[in-house]
Amino acid sequence: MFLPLFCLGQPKGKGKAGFHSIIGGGAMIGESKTKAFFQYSGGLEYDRYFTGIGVGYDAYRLNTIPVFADWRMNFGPHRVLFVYANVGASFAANIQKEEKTDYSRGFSRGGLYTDGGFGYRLPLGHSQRLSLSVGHSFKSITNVHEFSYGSVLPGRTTSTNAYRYNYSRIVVKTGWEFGK
Amino acid sequence: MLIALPICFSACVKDECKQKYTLTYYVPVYLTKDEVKANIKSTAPRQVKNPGKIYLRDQYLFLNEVDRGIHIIDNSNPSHPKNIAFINIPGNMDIAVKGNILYADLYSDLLAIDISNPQQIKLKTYIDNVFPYRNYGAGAPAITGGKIIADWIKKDTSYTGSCDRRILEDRFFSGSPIFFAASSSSPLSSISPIGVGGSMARFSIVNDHMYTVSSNTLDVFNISTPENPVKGSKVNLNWGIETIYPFGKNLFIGSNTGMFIYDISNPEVPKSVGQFSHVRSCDPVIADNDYAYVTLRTGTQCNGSINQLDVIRLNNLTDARLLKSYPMSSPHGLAKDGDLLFICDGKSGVKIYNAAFEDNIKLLKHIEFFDAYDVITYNKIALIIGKDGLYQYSYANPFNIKLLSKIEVK
Repeated sequence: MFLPLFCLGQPKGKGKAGFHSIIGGGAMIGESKTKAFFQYSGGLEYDRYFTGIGVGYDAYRLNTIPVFADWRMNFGPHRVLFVYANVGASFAANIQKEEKTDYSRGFSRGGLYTDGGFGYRLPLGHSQRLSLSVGHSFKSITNVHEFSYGSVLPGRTTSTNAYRYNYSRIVVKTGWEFGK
Repeated sequence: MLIALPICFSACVKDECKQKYTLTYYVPVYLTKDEVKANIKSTAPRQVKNPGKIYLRDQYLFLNEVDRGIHIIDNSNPSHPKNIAFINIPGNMDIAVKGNILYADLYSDLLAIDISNPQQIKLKTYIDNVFPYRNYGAGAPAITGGKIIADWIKKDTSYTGSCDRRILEDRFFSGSPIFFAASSSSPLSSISPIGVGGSMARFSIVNDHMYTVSSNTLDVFNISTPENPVKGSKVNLNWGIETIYPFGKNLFIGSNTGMFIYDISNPEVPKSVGQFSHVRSCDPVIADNDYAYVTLRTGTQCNGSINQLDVIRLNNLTDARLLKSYPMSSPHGLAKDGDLLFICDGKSGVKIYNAAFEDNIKLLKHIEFFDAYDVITYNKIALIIGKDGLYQYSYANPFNIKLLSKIEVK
């Protein structure tokens, strides 16, 4: 995942694709809470496009780990403006959280994760930039609780409660870009 | 764009939770008592699906199919056991055998069945309502108005809505025809003309008497005429009784608060001689001349917070004292043959110990197993029942224990 960090400073010719990393973080402002998040994306930047993969930590309501494809396009004077889109999946942050007894089981199922918006990039020199963006993020995750009762039936009576949580949030993000 | 943000805000942010509740439950199918009696016969062998207690008698194994009946397995060759017949007995949980008579419960009723020819069994005696505490059927009356629950029909239903626990609670408490099985002890049962059962048994035979335990009573049946059991005395016990194990002239009764010892010198009138109290937990018990072995485990029905084997000194029955405790994972049934102690340790499998020195029991062998819950030892063969099957292991050489056979649970 952090392989791109080791690619820093490698010379790249103009017009060639180069490895690019973005470390970002900020706030998710939702209906009931404002929570911090952070993420890392690594990928290739070519001309005014960046395509990569990313992973992060999203603490809004339920702690989740988004894993996503990251795309962005730079435009405007000196390409200081950009739009971005992330699409992927959210997973429960604590994978050890599955709880199991003889009579019950609780676990989480991953769900959709998206993030899209626009922003401004401030050049810092040495192929580094500071970015500021605003966007909209959606995450979904499902918690499942299964219960079974007794053992004297031909089959156990079972009940399953699946709670699907969908969270739509405004994202205010700052990022440090480097690598090209 | 920034101006648009506040406008977007109310539309763009939303916390939403949707709940989907699905329930699989069973509704009872009632037959008349005459119809049920007519169905108590040997039928074609069936696949083992939900194994309960086991009982060994000569070359036959009797394996309870919880709430359904009894599988008869010809075990003449433990390497190739043959499932030869099935007896339909609704509500059956416990079994015991003396001579050619098999005793089985049918919910609250007791049956005496002639098994001289296991493939053509005959119902000899049917006694009504000797186990009144068992007159249930997973929430529905098991025997009512001359009718008996003989089968169950599976139903599925689901509800979707916003996250609100009332969906769940409403269905639970609305009086819907949803039946939840009353919790039951995990499966299992108890030995010449008398056979051998497991440590989880609730029926036990000593000579001409059969002893049964409910959750708070010890009942005596005179079976001097095997095909005609006669109900005798009843001894009131504390609540939480789980298992019964006979040794010598004593009965060792396991409960979730302790082990009770009853003297049966007068077999008609068991007499309390001692007890050993422990923390609240499930506790099958076995005993030999000098020591009792009690496994304590946590569980939904048992509460408690410990999982261990307690070895109890029996030199003075009126003052049984703990010798030593050994930590376990989730111990269930157990058996002892000479110095070898077999313990079904739940999902940790079966553990075989050298118990020559009770205060220094040493693990000899650990058999990885899928949720083992009871074991019977006979002729250097350990018969182990687990969630996925009935296994037979030869321990003629304790250092080289070999799997002989497995009857699959489907």
